[in-house]
Amino acid sequence: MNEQSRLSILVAWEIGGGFGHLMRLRPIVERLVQRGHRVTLVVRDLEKAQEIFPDLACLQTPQRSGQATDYPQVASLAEIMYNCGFNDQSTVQRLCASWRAIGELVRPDVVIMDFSPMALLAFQASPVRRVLIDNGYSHPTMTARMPDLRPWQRGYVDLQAAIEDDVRQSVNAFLVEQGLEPVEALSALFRRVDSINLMTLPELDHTGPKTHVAYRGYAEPGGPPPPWPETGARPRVLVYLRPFAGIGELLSRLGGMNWAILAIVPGHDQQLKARLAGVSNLHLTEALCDIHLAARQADLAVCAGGDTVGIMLLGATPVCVVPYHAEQYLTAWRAEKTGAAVTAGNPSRLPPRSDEIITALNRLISNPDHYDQASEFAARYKDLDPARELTAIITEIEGQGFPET
Amino acid sequence: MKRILLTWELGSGLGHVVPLTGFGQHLSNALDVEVWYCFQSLHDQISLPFYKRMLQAPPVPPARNPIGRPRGFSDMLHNIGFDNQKGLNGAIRAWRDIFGLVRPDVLVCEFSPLSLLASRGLPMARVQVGTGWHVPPPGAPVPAYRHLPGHATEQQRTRERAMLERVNRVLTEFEAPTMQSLTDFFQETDLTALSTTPEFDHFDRLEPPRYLGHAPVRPDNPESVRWPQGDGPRIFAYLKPFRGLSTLLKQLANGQYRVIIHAAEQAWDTARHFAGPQVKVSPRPVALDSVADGDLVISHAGHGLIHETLALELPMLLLPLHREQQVNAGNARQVGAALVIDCTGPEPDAEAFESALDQLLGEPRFRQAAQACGRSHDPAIYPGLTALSGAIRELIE
Repeated sequence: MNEQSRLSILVAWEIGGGFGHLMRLRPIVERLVQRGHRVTLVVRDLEKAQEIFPDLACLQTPQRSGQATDYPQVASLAEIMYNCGFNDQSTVQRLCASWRAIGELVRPDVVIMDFSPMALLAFQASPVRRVLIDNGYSHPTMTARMPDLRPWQRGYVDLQAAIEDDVRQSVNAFLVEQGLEPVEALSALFRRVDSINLMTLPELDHTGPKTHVAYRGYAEPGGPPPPWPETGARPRVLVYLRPFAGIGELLSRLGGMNWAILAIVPGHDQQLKARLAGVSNLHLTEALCDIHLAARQADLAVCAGGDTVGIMLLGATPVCVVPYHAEQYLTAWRAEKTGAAVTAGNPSRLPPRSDEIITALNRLISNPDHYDQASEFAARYKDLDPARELTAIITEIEGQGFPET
Repeated sequence: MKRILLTWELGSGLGHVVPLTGFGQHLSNALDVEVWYCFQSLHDQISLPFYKRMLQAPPVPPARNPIGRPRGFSDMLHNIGFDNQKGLNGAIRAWRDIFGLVRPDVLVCEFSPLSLLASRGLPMARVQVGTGWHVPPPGAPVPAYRHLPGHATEQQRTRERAMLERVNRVLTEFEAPTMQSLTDFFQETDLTALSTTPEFDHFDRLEPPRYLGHAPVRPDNPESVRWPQGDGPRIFAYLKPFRGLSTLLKQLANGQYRVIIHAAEQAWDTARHFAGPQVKVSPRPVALDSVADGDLVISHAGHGLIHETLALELPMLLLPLHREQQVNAGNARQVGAALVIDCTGPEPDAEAFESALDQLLGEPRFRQAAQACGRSHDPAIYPGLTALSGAIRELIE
């Protein structure tokens, strides 16, 4: 590819936490860089982005002034947007103007957006290719009202509708000011793009299967082989959790069983390390490994409700889901419906206690149906090739006229 | 077209935003330049046109072991990531990424130590603006602020040496010149122009910087007020919540005075109960012109309000709530225009307020000092803007 055909690509990530968003963007960004494109990241968490992308320019996303969260228990994408500044037209104007200022500097040909509704709005009037890399939580169904993100509880329908109407008004005020057509439903904003890629699968889409998107499965960031304890014990249980109050108790109890346990606990403390030091059938580590390979090698998994759930099911491994917050509970809720997963705890108190996790795990292993369903799930997607999906995403990003990837 | 980047990283409130955007506007009008902004807070008081070239500043990295009661400037540096190698590296990289995109010819820093440090070794002119609080003079250990305890402890010297090592590590990583002392990067700029006067600088300096005078900060849509009826002394008070607020309010509401209070933030909840025929209380900013014929101003010793009060040639009772205000208050006391009741410690008693009010209203020396000082503090036109834009024109050319 010659210099002239190189693209300037702006990658935006506005909402969410942890490494999940960056890890799913990483293979895409790395491939784009390999193909000679100039990539600039504008991200919510600079520190993590700098760690994942040490050689790329990383900027901070424009943030609304003040930290108040109007609706901490969000029940729809509209409420998330409300909390991020869409509650107020002048805030929307300011933040969009700042996004466009970034655009003036980066001069992007393509804007890739991961959970970035303000950037999505800001670049509506810009002559750029707009590509979404999302999941079912951050990308709505194309319905008159935004889908419910807490289907397990009764919502305040009138209040939620009023919030969504406020957000839609802010969005439309900006669109009209830019000489664009307003949207009749807020969800329609998310279709005003060139390509929608959901990094999940229909069964695990938080808000249900959609027909207007391309499901891409899960990114394959690679990594070293999983360091299973060398005891030869079975089953092999993969535990992939962040530290929480009950993690020591949970791992101690798991370590007491005659299983081979690989516990990946990023950010764990010395106390936990000391507590598990003598447990030969449990290997505790912070380091990430090739999680797709781990999924194929494990017999059981205990993990939070992120992408790991889907990766495990694609590896035919049944999962005990340990949700830390409502978004993960929604994944767990969907995963249970596949018949290949169980959920620990209940949504009113997350994360669950260690005894609730053990109970859920016992429920999982005592019923062979979970294994059967996990195998069926994996068989259904045996032809899903992450490398091919990555290539397809790159093609969507580059648009027409580029050499094949 | 040449580009100027204005950065603001630390501090809160309009005192930073308003002068800096005003300055940016002035530069846009006076010079053939494109002015960009990178602010720590995308404040709703900044009008929309500025956002067309407004970027979000990188977050200030947290300290690994924060100093709970910072004593001096180097403690402040410690608390913004200078004790945290990873955080410091990340912040410098983030600023350099911004510089890489904006490619400024001139960097103007207002309370932005990290952006100033990150610019070291890069091909751009460097300008520091703001009050003296943000700009330390040379010296190791870093010299103390005026009016505050200044004895450098061995612990402070050790901390400063460790910070210097960290800074030099990050500078080496980015192939920038290393430093001999911790605050070299504040000294090695092309221009330091302080929006204050020598008497109100926060440091004593052997080599004075360029003093521009006071940059006015005028709130939007202030309230014009009239004094309550009567013939008692007229007092304007700008009050925030503090220990002693009720005691002061009782004193002000005792019927001897005519009082107008702008009760800011949660002070309104307390102050509104003291409203009466002789005491007007407003949650909104008060137009200072409408209290210009008063006899006394009570405030917390904000740098801007002290200058505005001196321009009105009025004496002051100052109630500092933090260290920067303690220095401002000390300076005002030193020029003879104020009495100070320190509100950073134990709650002041009623006698302290009564005695201070009696002195300030009864002894003409305070007003005379304010008048003498006030003549050089007219903020009607910020005298520094033209001088500063002229200096920047020279830097660009």
